[in-house]
Amino acid sequence: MQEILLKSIDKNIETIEKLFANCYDIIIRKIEVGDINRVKMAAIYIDGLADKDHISKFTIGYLFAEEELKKFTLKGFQNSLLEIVSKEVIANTEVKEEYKMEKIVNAILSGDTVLLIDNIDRCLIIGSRGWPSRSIGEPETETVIRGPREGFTEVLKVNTTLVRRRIKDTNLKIEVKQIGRRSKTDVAILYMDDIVNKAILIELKERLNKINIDSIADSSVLESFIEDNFLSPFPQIESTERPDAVAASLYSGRIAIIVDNSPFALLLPATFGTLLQSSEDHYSRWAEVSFIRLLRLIAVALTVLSPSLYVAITAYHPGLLPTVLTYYLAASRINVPFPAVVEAALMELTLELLRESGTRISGPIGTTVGIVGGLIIGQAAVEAGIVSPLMIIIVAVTTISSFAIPNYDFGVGFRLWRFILIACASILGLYGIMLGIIVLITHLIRLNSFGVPYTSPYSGLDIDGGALRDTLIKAPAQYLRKRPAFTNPQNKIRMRGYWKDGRRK
Amino acid sequence: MGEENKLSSKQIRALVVSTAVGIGILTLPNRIAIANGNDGWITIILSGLLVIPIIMVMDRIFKMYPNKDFFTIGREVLGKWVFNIFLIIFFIYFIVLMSNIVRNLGEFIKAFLLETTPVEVLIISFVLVTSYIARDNIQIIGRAAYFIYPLILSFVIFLFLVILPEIDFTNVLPVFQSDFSKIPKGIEIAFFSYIGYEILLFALPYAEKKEDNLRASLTGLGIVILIYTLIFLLTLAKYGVHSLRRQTFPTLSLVKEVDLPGYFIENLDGLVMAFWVLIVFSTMAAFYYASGIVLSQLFNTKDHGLFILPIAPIVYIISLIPRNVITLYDSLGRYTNYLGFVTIVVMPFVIYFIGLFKTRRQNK
Repeated sequence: MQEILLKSIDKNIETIEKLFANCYDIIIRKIEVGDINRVKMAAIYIDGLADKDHISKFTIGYLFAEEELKKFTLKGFQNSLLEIVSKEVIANTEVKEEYKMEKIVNAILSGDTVLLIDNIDRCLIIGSRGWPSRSIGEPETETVIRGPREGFTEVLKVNTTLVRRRIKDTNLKIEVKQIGRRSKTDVAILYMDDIVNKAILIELKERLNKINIDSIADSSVLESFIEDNFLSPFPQIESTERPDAVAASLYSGRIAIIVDNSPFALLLPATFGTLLQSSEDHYSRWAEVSFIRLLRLIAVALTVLSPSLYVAITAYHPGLLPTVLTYYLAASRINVPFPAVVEAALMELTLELLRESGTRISGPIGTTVGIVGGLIIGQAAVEAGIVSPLMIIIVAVTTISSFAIPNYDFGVGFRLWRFILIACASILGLYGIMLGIIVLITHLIRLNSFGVPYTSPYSGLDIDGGALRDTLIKAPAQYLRKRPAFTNPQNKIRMRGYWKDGRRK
Repeated sequence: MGEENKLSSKQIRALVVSTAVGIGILTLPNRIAIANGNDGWITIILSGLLVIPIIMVMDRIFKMYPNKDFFTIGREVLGKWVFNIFLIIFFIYFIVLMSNIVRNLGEFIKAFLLETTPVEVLIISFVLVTSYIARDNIQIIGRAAYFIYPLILSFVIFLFLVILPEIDFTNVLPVFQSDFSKIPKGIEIAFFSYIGYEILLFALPYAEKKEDNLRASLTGLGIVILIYTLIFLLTLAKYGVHSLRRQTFPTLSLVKEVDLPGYFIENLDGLVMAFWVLIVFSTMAAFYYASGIVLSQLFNTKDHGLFILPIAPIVYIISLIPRNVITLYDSLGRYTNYLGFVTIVVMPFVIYFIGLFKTRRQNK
């Protein structure tokens, strides 16, 4: 294949046509410019990816209209014709020269327009990317009561702009590289140059460079390729739809990755502490947030433990409960034909099914699924005596608390673990649950996210110093003068003062 | 990054506490009360103070040979063969110690939680579960210890708060009445309940801030002394010395007395037993890791993870040798103490003094 441009425009066009054979969306517009000496030119772009109005108005239109160019004679000026076109004729903002075929084809595929000129072995690449996209809307999975309502879209440029608007600092670096041999997906790495821990940045770039795959469909695919432990049910990289969450993370020294065609940005390193925070935590008052953060820890415990505790207590240790409750429990289960473990597994599985079908089907049918599942199955199952009413309550509590975990994937990890714990409880009762928890704790403790302990700020390393005031609870912003230390940022101070600092009491 | 295998001083403190507090805490008040009566707390504190010089010697060894781990120092000071014999004793000690721990755990769980489950199942499942963490490096053990450490503290504080209204501190009196010739007998019991600080031999070389090692370890020891003394005084004040002598598991009985306001959970002892499994886990994890390390040093390999699973059946078989709980104390319990004396008292002192002698001579 021809690797660089030749002087003959016909040959160049032929090569490009060959490459794009059977691609109905390629447009090659051949024109001739000049009155005395007609020069062949060609504008090449992909229909739909490039902004047609923009090209026809400011490139082709100006080429035709420019008086000097019409009278222009080719002899003696051959080499500078490209420069004249670029500097004096066309009115586009992004223009650069290129001669390598591979890069030219790449540019066409990315939505840029290529202008070939006869007798010149270089061409102009005109930035004309513009395709239909979803407008910026409210993030679907992370809504807030108080706080900005913008969410990322599928377009990389829009997404980086949303972040840039929040960080007007030259230290915000946005590096773009293409990953995927065929998909050539643009992947942007965002970080604050003077805050980020360079060791983590280098490690990330190395992991990204090692990826050799044909396509990256979504940021979640990229996530699975750069994770520390891909076998774990827990995500070691946080994902978010919110530009304000990305900006806040960048300020605390973390790194964000935005992948083209994906509305979910990746944040790393992620820890137990960060995955249990929502962006609303930054906007609400400290007392409320502190309360909610403690509540989330309880939610984690309830998600993992409640069904297995039910199984263990009914099957092995009814004596743990007060006598009255034990009688009540026994009475409510008197018609239930199954052992507790079957009852629990049955209901938990039903609920997972309901959740899954409810997520896939939205709109009116989804509502029907909810009503049929929630009301009818629950009510009917109890009346038919298949499950006890207490079991229904426990299933409901489990599900509700699993959705109280702000990060969806993190919640899924715990939801899966509860099935393991139900199995443990059915074999060894409370002791089995404890063994299951030991394995869970061991697993969490062993996990790292880019060299940062996953259990931070409960890992006991010095990087956790003072972190509890912004993870377990949230102290008022006046007390949070330092950035979170788990990434070991270069610049540690976040706040230098407020109005009370200068005054004496 | 780059410091993946480093311990912070907080983790070292937590290691000392969570490794020491284990199976002993359930029976200690009873055994001390039998030996020393009302003055048991004196023996607990005294034997705790006896541990201080041992920890100081351990710290000194690593100060004397900075940037070397225990095994390199041992080989350098004692010579390869003598040190290997020590290591074999060390290994046997860890095996017997772990067997003792898991057998105790199994028997307690069988007695209080799962009456009909065979103790073999309880033991082997626990050993296998702990083998998961033991394959990792000391940093992970430290993280686990730091994770369990607040649970231990909050458990003791919780116990103290709920039991406080029900106790009668006149039961502690009279003080200084018992026969002082029986103090050594009590010290023997109490001294070995502090076992666990030998993990420092493996942990201290990996400390991030070596100058804080001594302070962190001694703070940990102080917390253990405090916990043991507090538990003893609570059980003594609650039951009085005569009743305490007849309670085999006074700490558990104490928990049984707790009536939570609101009556949601009636018998806390079951929950406490479950919780206590976590505490034993942190003890066991450290010893399991250490035994793997010792074995890998004996075979001169770098990765200790290989040796973890083969250790499991050995521990399992040895733990089943004693016929019942009563013979457990006389067999495994006693051997643990003898071997422990050699490994954690004799060995550090021998290495320290020979090392001191050698470095002095070199300096001349």
